[in-house]
Amino acid sequence: MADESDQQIGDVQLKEPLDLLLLSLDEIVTVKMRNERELRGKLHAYDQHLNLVLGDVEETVTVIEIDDETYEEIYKTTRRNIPMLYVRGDGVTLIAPPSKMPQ
Amino acid sequence: MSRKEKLQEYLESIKGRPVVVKLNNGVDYRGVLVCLDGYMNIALEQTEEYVNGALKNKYGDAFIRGNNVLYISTQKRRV
Amino acid sequence: MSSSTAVNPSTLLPLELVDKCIGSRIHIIMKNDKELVGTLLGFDDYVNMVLEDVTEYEYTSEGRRITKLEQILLNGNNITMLIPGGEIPDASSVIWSSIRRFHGTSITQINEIDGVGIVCGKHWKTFVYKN
Repeated sequence: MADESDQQIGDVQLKEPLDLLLLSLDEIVTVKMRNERELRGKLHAYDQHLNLVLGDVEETVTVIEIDDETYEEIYKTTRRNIPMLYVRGDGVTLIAPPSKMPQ
Repeated sequence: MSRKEKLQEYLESIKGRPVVVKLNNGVDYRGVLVCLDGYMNIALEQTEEYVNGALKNKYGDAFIRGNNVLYISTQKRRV
Repeated sequence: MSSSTAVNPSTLLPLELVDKCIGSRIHIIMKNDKELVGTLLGFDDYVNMVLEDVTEYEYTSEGRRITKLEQILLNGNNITMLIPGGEIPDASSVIWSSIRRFHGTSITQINEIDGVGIVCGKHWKTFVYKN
């Protein structure tokens, strides 16, 4: 039964979604947060709340401004680099391990 | 309670199938469901991110935190 | 569970009401200007639900967006109200939004809808009379 219900990624069995993070330890991950915030950095540690410790992080914040006259949506992104970051899990929406697919 | 069993049965049946996961913020993720847990945390593969119906991103694998999930949707299984 | 029976022993527990909807159409009102109509197949203690032949209605500034979905597992977290019966009359959204204001906190308050006398009671009453 176990073989049938446990899905595989690569050649590793995944029992629960958090196993995906176990496989991503010490890899560069993309983390999407609430409020249009995105992080990219090396995953040093995580827990069941998705609290994360990331190293060599690039943070991208996108702000959408609406032009007063033309009502155009203007996307403004700001980037900064942070050597080490603790992320509180409740802000996390998605974590993507380094892709094996072409982007 | 049979009503709960139906839910469990559905959860089991959707593993390995293509799904659409919609988040509370309106973003859709389409991909193959690898597994999920009781918090509705989800692991997807071949994930595509759609914002307002437009493809914005692709991820090989993706972990989605369950508290943001509005629903997981599948096609009916045709026998 | 035991506390709600103590307060109101004559009425059905909220989850028993939901249980009676299994197999029939149900109208679900969510927290953030979303409504769904579908056939209820099952649910759990958190009122996460499995639904079939679902229509999703989203009320945005650009109008109403409708999405058809075959089967879904709906997260119970953002549900505010459940109404037995599946129609969604066009004029109803105004009423729903006012209900939401009074009753938008939890489904245990569903009993009060009838008391307040909101028009959506057609299915609701037949539903109650059966017991």
